[in-house]
Amino acid sequence: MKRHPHDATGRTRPPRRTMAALAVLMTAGLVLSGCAAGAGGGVENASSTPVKGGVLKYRAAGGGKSFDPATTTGYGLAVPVRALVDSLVFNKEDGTFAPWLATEWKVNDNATQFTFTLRQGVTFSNGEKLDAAAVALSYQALRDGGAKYAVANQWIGALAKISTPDPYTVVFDLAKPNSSFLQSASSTVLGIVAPATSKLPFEKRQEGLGIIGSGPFVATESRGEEGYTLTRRKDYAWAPEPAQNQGPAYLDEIEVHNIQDNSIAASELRSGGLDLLHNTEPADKTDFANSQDITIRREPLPGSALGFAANIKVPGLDDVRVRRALALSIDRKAVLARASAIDIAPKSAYTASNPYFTDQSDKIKTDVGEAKRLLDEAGWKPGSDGVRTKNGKRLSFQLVYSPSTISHEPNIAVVQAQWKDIGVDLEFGSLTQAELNQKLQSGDYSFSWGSGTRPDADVLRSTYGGLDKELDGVFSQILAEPDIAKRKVLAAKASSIILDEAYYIPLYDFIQPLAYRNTTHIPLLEATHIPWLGDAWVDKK
Amino acid sequence: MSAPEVVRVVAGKIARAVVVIFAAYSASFFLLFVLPGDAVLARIGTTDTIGSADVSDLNLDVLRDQVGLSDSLWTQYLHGLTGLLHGDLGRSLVTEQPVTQLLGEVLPNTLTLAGVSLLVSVPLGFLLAVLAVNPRSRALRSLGSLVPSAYVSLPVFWVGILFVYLFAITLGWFPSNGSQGIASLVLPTAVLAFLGAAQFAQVLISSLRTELGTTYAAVTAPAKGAGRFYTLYRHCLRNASFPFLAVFGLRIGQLLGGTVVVEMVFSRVGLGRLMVDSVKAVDLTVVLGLVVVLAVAYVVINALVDIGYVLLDPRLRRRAPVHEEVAA
Repeated sequence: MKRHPHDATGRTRPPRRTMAALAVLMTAGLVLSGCAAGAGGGVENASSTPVKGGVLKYRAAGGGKSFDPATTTGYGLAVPVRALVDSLVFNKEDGTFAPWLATEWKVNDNATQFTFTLRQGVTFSNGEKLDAAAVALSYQALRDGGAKYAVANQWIGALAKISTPDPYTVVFDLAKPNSSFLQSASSTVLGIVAPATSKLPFEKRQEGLGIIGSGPFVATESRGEEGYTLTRRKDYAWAPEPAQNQGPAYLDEIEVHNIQDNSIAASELRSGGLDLLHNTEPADKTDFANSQDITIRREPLPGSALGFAANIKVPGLDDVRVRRALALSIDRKAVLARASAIDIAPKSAYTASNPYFTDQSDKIKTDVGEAKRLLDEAGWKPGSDGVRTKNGKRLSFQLVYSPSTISHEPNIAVVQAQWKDIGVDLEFGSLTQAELNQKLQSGDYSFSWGSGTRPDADVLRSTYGGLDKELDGVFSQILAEPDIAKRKVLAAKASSIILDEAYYIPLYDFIQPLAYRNTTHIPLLEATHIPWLGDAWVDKK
Repeated sequence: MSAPEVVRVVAGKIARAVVVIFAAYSASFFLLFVLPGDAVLARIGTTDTIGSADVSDLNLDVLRDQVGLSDSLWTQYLHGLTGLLHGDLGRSLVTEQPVTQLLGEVLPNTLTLAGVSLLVSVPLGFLLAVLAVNPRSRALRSLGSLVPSAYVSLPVFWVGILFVYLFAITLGWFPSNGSQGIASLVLPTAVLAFLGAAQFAQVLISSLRTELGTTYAAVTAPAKGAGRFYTLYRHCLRNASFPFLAVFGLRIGQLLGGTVVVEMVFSRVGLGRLMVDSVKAVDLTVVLGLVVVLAVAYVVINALVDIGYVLLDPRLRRRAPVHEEVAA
């Protein structure tokens, strides 16, 4: 592939490429993502010999003082937290689970009881023993916190009872089937913290250094809102089974820098001030994709594709013909041409990297003629200003999202123009998190920005639950089905209903992955695409 | 001024300060309530949550009860005000940490940044002003007065990012982010100090020109054999400093509340950044705490500026301007 030059100052030149080059890149992206779904391995560079020692400098967007695993729910911010707390099981990229703090586990037939047998000899960094009581307490602290740990508790689900029949066995009894519980248990959010941390009140947990885990690294320095430092634990000996390195981590330290500005962070990566970076502006993504020194991962984060999730209670969107027309009128090639060079076309309601993905690209197509016909049939006739109307109401919609979606706005504008051509008006703009959640709760919106990163079949339920009886039935079946192969069939069915009914209008599989210098090596990722930093190393500088 | 008069003046000042702080607190409280959503909605999950942030199932009222958001507006207001009178600023609605603790964590950083940049900007401002007024060459004088005007019109974030790219990333002289160590103070201080210096210089240039045109400077001093620079330095500078003092007071206020852009660009912990984050999170208690601190700071600065006038101008010492003000 042709390299894209930097200018003398190391700053990026604005990307200027021909359509041909773009097409080549996009094709490459598609091919790569196709491979990725089956690959299952970590990032390349694994052939070279690990280097012991060194510091990995990492940046994620939006970080603050707290790195409490239970409230650090964003992908990028959870990356260093993965090195601090271990989980009961390790979720591999193919969706299967491997032993970690639990050497064995049993799930009953309807996914309401999960029994874990814990590994012996594991300690937290403060010397406390990791046993059944510590695990139970770690979960119980989150239960007691209630809505303070909203996401964590949603993941735990309807937990009826935690019991500890012996010091190394923990049993979780759920009031409702939840086959996603293993995936939840593998996450950083439900990573196991020491009893000393579990006993802390909420506000003390948000202060940083109070978080004590059993991971290969220990939080040794907090720089408040600016970041923190993790230091290697010398006696670590209980890495997840797929890790190459079962002993103490290779790296001496991980420095987390909460650099605010995306382009400054990108420049720091270029200049070597950072080794690993999450959250990149589209222009920098394209630049990294062509850089000799930097690798940007090409696989979308596993979860659901990005796009418009319809609120089917608002007039217009309550009619499936209108929703289908809107989906059919989008020319995704034009949208992708505006997006960064590494974003790829969607093929399902799930992203291609979700272990439960099945290719359904035949359901995502463009047919403007059919779109217009459907709108006519639904009774929406072109009005005086070009926007269709019915009974005096304009076919006008509002898309809401949080400021983290702002970088997608140029691409959303492409959709706006395409919808204008069929007589549909679209307004869009970012809202504060508080206002967004308020609108989502009250239903005062037409489309929300559909996203969600979780390598699980259940990722769609939070957005599309409660819309459709048949779909809700499939969601329930997914939750009651512990078998991965059977869940995959059900996941395909859920995605198929969502696309057929156009509850969701996918735009692209958005790539917002890690970018790293080629001197950084991360051989193992978990299913969430969070790297296992116990195996990571950086070449000597 | 007689002793009772002093007491009356000081009492008047304090009363006014209390009114200012009360008004700032109340206005902010009710304005913040108009913002859509609340802290509880802001703190549950974000759109890039790993997994899902389905807020519809959550019973948020329990959490609202816990942080006191379900009380009536009036109760919350009175509660906050009573706390304020007891010196208790409450707890953050998001992290639940005491507001005084949060302020204590960020204040030293902002004060250092503001203080150092102010210290640098005053002599620099005077220097720029003298350079723009002193030269005999008209072209040099024009150039000298152009520089501060040009700098003032540049957006702070742009200058900040430029400095980061040039001095941190390309040249690698200073860190691009954080507030660890003295080196990290250099770039943000420079951005703010240059801005302050340029603002001071603008005012000083204008008032120095006026002073230079008056009889004592244009006629008397040269007639007694004083050189241009001597006249400027010995006679005009003091007289030209009154408008400077007003701008100086404003600048301190600007620096306390307005370091936010610099704190964002350089990813530093600070008052401004805390303010922005708290407004975004509708974290009422923290925002109100900040407002109170800033209001107190403004009041104190204004008082200091008043004293500064008195020190600079012997006429005011005889005629007690504060007294007139109160009477008016």
